[in-house]
Amino acid sequence: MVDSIDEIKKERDQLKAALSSMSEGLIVIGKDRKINLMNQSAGVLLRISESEAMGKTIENVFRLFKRQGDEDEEQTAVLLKNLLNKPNIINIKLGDDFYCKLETGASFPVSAIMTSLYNKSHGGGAIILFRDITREKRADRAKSEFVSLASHQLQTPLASINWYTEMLLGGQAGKLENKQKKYLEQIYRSSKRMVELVNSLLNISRIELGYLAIEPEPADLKEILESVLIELSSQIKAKKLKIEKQIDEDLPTLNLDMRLARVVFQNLVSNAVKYNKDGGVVGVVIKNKGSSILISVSDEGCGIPKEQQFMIFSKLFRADNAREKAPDGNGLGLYIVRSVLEQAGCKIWFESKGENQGVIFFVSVPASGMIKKEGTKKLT
Amino acid sequence: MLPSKEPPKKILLVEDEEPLLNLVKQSLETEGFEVGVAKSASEAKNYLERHGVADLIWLDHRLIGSKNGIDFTKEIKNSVNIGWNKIPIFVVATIITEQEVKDYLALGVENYYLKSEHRLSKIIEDVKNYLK
Repeated sequence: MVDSIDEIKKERDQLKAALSSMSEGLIVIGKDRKINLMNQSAGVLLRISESEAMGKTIENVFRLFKRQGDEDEEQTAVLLKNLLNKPNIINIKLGDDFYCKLETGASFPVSAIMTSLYNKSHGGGAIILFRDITREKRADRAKSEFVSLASHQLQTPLASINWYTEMLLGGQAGKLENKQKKYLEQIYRSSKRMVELVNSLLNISRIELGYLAIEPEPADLKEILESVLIELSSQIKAKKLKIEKQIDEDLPTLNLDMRLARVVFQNLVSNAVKYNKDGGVVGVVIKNKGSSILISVSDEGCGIPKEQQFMIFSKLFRADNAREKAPDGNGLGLYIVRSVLEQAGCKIWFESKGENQGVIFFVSVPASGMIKKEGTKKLT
Repeated sequence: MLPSKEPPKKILLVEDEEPLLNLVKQSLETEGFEVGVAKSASEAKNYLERHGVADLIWLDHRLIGSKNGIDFTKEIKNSVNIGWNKIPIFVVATIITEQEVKDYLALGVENYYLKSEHRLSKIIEDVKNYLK
């Protein structure tokens, strides 16, 4: 008997020692969202003692916010409600834009994973594991600043290459043989691609450094869509694609940042054109859902392989079949689109049954429109 | 005897990047313009002082020295007593922010272009039409 008590004590001490030596903060909550257990690091990070935190509701101690527009929303209660009440959600990993706010008003960027806890005797609950990522964010910022600077510097020689090539192709330096012309055309195309790539990198650095301004104004979605379709008309014609539009009559005027809305449409529609099969259909549906407007853009193209679908919004990622179909892409378009939409308080997701099954992208814009955000830069 | 031709129009080209400076100069000369060049705001002002006036200024945004295209435009537009404020300015920038575009337009420049978005021949065509 004594032996087994000693054994239990020993195990408990070991567990305690392990928990208090962890550099991550750990909190265990019950189904009622009250704190049952907290380790030392969590206390240090949240500036609260274990005894003080015990029994308190999690959202009063661990206040998570997501960067969004000019007014950030508190997220802890919403996230945990989903985790505790929806049996299909097992864990939630926080993305890039979350931070934790302390009672003193100070805050730190946070990375966290919340996992539901199955415990018959205690009736469930959740474990939250989190850490302060200030240093990572600092390194990330330095990287974005470098990318921004490098992109600026790259623009100047690129302008030279473009204009000199234009002159040669225009015959200003003498008549060209066919082969010379063909090679120069290739140089010109590649250089244009480089300009696009540099512009995309600049846009990303603006988004990541938080310089991007979002300035919503009353806008007509149909008009934006039409202008994008006109821009793409030669590619649409060349692939003999059919455009099927289905737009609700009662669409309200939405408050959108016109430039950003164009970037979104441009990317989604040009992808639907680029990856479509010849003679395929590009479908654009805009539906009034009352509290939101749902936009979808579909194609009948190469689709997204199942095993690569989770990467599709990642920076510089291109699915294998997309690289084969259109080697010119740079893997930045969807990353930019998602970043822009998230900062503007909108959502994007997609469905694709797999390779050669086409893809359909959905964008949901709240009826109140995009969220305004002060910033110094716009996308180019 | 041939009829006397009009004297060529003078363009002041302000650009800090040597290869671009050479190319634009040559291209404008091929079109019959007389071209003066400068790489900084102070060189550009020296040119105007020496030559009296130009019919048009082709201006890059980033220049050598502490002054950029906006600083130079301000000086030109403020030189009312010597008439420099009347010289039309075409801004041809490599990279420019929305705010800088607004500043240029508020100062009264005629046109602005991004090098990556416009063909050189198109800008030269616009210059020709403007000076017709």
